[in-house]
Amino acid sequence: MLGGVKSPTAIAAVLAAACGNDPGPPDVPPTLGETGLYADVATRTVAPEMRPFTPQYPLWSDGAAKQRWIYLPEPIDASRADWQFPVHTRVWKELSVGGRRVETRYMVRTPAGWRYATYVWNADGTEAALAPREGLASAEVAPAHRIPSEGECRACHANGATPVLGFAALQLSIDRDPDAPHAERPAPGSLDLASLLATGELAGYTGSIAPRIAGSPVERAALGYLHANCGGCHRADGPVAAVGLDLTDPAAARRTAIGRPSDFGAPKLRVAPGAPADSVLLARMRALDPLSRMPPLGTRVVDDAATHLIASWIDQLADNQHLETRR
Amino acid sequence: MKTTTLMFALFALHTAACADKSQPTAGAHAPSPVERGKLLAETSGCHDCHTPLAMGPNGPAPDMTRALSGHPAALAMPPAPELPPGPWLVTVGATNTAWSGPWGVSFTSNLTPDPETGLGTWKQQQFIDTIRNGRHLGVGRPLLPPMPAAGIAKMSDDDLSALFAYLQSVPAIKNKVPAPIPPKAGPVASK
Ligand code: HEC
Ligand code: HEC
Ligand code: HEC
Repeated sequence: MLGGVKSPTAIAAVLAAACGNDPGPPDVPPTLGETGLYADVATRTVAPEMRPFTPQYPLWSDGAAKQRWIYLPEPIDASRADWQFPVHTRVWKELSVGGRRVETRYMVRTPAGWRYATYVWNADGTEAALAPREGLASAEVAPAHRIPSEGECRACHANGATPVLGFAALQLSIDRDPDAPHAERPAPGSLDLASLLATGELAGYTGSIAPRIAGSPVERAALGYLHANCGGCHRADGPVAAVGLDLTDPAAARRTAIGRPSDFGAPKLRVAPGAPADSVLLARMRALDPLSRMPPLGTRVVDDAATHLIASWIDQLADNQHLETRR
Repeated sequence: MKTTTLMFALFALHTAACADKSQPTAGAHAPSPVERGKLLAETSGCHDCHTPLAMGPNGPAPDMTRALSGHPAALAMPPAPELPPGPWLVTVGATNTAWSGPWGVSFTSNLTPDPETGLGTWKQQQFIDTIRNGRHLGVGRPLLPPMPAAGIAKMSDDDLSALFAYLQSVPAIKNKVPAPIPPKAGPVASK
């Protein structure tokens, strides 16, 4: 059984396996190349079965540019609002700063559950290596960019029934919001609800192919932004539920934010209609100190486009308080 | 002969490597998770900061009627004294539950299972994430000093689960700990 096992680490691995502590096949390989995203990583040729998608409301990552791909081994169960992705689904998101690839984030659904990892690009952009689980304070090619820890991936992704946040009905609508902050032009061949239905990859989906948030253009963009950037934590389930602020959908956002008192400085409201300066929600998006910054991780630079948008939305609420939807 | 010795040594190593420390040793009583968690809480000093001190006949002692309930809500703290420049950096309230330093003022949390003001609605995974990520509620702002999350994070998942099981087993005490105060004036985050 030990024939041919030479190094102490190899022996330790054999012993661990014999004890039943075998970590199993690596869910997250040591290099990005081995995740299968690229047919040729050195020339950055993406493998054809990894298909691009472009959510209409992107996450703000301090201005980093993004590209995303998904590999679907089988159709998605889209019969409920929280889509269930088949085992062996793989999803990537590549972040670039100043035109250079910095990190490629990776999620894979293994038989034992979802795994999260990120790969940090080398200086020549020819390969990316698995980052330590604790993350990195700074990336080689972009010193101001922090690489999140695995715990931070889970803090944003693992709160609801599905951890996939940007591949969902509203995000893949064919009716894209032109006013979404930092809206990205869909990459050629990007998947959307129409193409996924055409290929039969959305099993049980009965919704529209063009879902959109109702309301004025400002309100539509504001609530879409809050859905994508805040709804991962601020939802009715998960660890932040007790705060009682639900930004996942327009009705919940109106009910739990507009005119609702906050713990944040006694008399203040989360959203005070007509008074952006008195609205805690906006103050926390503008805050930079780590005690108050929202979101509390993944960003250290204020999203000016978004704070202007949210301020206009709060201004508009004075004329149009949506009292009918608050109950 | 050489191979036999090696095999024997490896077997001994194997036995040692496989010994599961949480298994009872012969004759000893196997601690339940709650018992193990109690020991871990005591040896890791959770009471030192999370159970307020009260003056007793022998000087300050933990007030076990308020065990693990954090900084008492009724004890409003005046602003911390301004320290003169120099090597003294931190001021601590008499209860050992309020700490003022360069990070602002932090108040130790209510770790009892009260559903509104303590950890009553917490799931085990959230407790583990709070310690491992060093973040409020597991996902929020970074935890402030002097909470030694990075050290406690060295415990195994089994140990942290046992610690959580113990915290969930102590009497629930209703006590809404104030939010921390940032270095500049004014309350910031909600609890
Ligand atoms: C601040 C919250 C946050 C953090 C931290 C975060 N993500 Fe995400 N992630 C999101 C959101 C929101 C989206 C969807 C919007 C987008 O892609 O712009 C997303 C998208 C993704 C996608 C595309 C699939 C999907 O869910 O839409 C992958 C893959 C991904 N993230 C992986 C990771 C990994 C791995 C980490 C940790 C190294 C991580 N993320 C950290 C919030 C976060
Ligand atoms: C990674 C998780 C996470 C994300 C993402 C996140 N938050 Fe929070 N948020 C929290 C936690 C935890 C709290 C409670 C503790 C605190 O107040 O810091 C909170 C509290 C708040 C509060 C205070 C509620 C009150 O009653 O005072 C507001 C307002 C808020 N968040 C707004 C936002 C906005 C706006 C976004 C998106 C731009 C956002 N958050 C994204 C975790 C998150
Ligand atoms: C040296 C003092 C100190 C010790 C020892 C200590 N804590 Fe803490 N703990 C604090 C302080 C202060 C806070 C509040 C920090 C904050 O608000 O950011 C805190 C916060 C926490 C929280 C965060 C709750 C939340 O709302 O997110 C948990 C959980 C916790 N402590 C558990 C423990 C456990 C378990 C132990 C023992 C293994 C322990 N602490 C030992 C000082 C301490």
